[in-house]
Amino acid sequence: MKRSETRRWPSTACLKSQAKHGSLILVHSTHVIELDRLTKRYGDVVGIEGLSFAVDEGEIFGLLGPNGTGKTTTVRLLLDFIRPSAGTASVFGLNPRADGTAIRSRVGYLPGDFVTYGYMTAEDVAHYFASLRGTPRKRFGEVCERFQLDPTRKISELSKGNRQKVGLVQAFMNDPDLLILDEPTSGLDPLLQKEFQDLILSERSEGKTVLLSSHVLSEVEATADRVCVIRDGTAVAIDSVVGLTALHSWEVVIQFAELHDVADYEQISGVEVVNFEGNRLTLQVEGEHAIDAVIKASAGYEVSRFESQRSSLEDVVLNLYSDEQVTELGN
Amino acid sequence: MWSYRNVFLKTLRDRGRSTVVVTVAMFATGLYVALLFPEFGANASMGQLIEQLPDWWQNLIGDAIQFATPEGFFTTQPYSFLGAVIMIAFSVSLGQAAIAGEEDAKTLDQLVANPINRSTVYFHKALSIVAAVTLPVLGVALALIIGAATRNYSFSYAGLAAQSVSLWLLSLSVAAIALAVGAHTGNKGQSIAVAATVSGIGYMLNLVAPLVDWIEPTQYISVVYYYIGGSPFIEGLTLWHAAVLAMLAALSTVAGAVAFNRRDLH
Repeated sequence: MKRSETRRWPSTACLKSQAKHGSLILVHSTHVIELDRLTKRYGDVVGIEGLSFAVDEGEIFGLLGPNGTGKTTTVRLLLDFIRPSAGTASVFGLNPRADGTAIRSRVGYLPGDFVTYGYMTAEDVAHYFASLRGTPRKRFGEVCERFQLDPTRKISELSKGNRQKVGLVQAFMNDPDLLILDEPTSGLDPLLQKEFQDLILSERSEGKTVLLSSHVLSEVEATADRVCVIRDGTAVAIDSVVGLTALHSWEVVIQFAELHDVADYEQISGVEVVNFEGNRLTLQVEGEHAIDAVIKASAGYEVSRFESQRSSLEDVVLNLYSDEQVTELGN
Repeated sequence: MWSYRNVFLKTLRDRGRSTVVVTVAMFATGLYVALLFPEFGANASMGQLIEQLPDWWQNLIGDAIQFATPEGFFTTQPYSFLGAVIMIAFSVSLGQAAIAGEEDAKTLDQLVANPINRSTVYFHKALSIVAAVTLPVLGVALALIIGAATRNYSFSYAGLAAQSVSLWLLSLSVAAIALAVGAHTGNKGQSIAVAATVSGIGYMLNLVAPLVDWIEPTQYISVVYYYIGGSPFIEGLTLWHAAVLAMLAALSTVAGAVAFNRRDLH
């Protein structure tokens, strides 16, 4: 199935209605996940406020934001661990409260703070959860091998990274249609982080959907098709990674043979002179028209070097968080 | 790995070690008491000694008349004191661990992330408590039978059955209170505090109420009164006492299930 196509998921209510009346399915959801003004408050404290977005089948969707901005709250609402104060959420067109069991039968979940039974082995955990699911753990061996996990060791004896591998294995082992992964690479070394990225990209190629909650921006940038940047429980940006970064600036560095004055550049709309030193000019340029103007302005000089670099997702998100919490996101 | 087939078996396995320890402790207590009865209970000088004790003390350990028969002796020990205290403590432990303990250990999210609804998790946990408290209750009864046979005396098996049912219901009531509070709050401390307070105050009221007129009516709010107040080993099971304990256990369990289904998990 191509990304542009979307499968229609019948809701349980529809299936019941169809069964009862023998009629066609009347109600559909066009997204695997759909949030409509979803709100969760804890007394006076806002977890998330009016959050709306949709995730299509075969998409890797990143939830971005520092700790405490509402990513985990969103994930826990989708799995019916907590209940919304207002708004609605649906997964596969089903209501998490009414149809939680049906939803979770198709979801692989890794919590942000993965803790499991210390006296058990990964093999035991897999056996237990597979029994509760009533489905075979057909990918258990493959994922263990991929993450180099010895499933026979007691979990209490494992390092933080190895415990995280257990979490990943149990999330992937039943070959779920939707993966909800909260800080999935926490504690993993760079090689295994790359392995994880390869794994979810291969999942996507098989039409699986991934909701990836993370504050590791490079990881999200490398894998996600679209992202939702959450700040104080509300979405401040929802776009494709390409779209989000394209909306923002380029850093342009021009090395001149000789340049005395930067006035030509300061007059260009969308251009900010960041630094001018030793005939080396650094500009922050926003918008394609401004790039064009910079090139034209440089045409009158002898240029020995011209470099431009698009903003990374990290630059974009840091910009969205520019007045607060930057330090926490900085990694 | 039969013990990982469902929540009931897994929980039973989790509590396996403590269940075995408590069962052995109850068995040992019962055997010790049964083997000593001919020296203590049937001993006239012991009866005279007990008669000289204060009323509240006799109320705790039993009076001289009770001491003279196996049924009376067993009512005081193990069923009124050590056995009851062990079972209350074990029941509180089981009840708090079921939901609040799992939530406190942060493993509950993982459990309910599976396609299993909260009610199923809850009732599997409740069922595992029923199984776990049954073993020590049977253990102490078996020890009394073996001890009496070893020392060559007999007692009423019907009384033993009535007393065992009563202890089982007390244990279930206390465990159900701890389970329900834990399911409602997700807090182990509150679960333990409420169940232990209900049991502790109940124990004290049952001890003191018969001695002080104005306190006497309060024994009806004591779970321990409904457990031992009718002397089931001697008099047989008082049905309405048993019914009160059974209702308390059932209502607490159902109330906990409703609260667990409604609330946010921590």
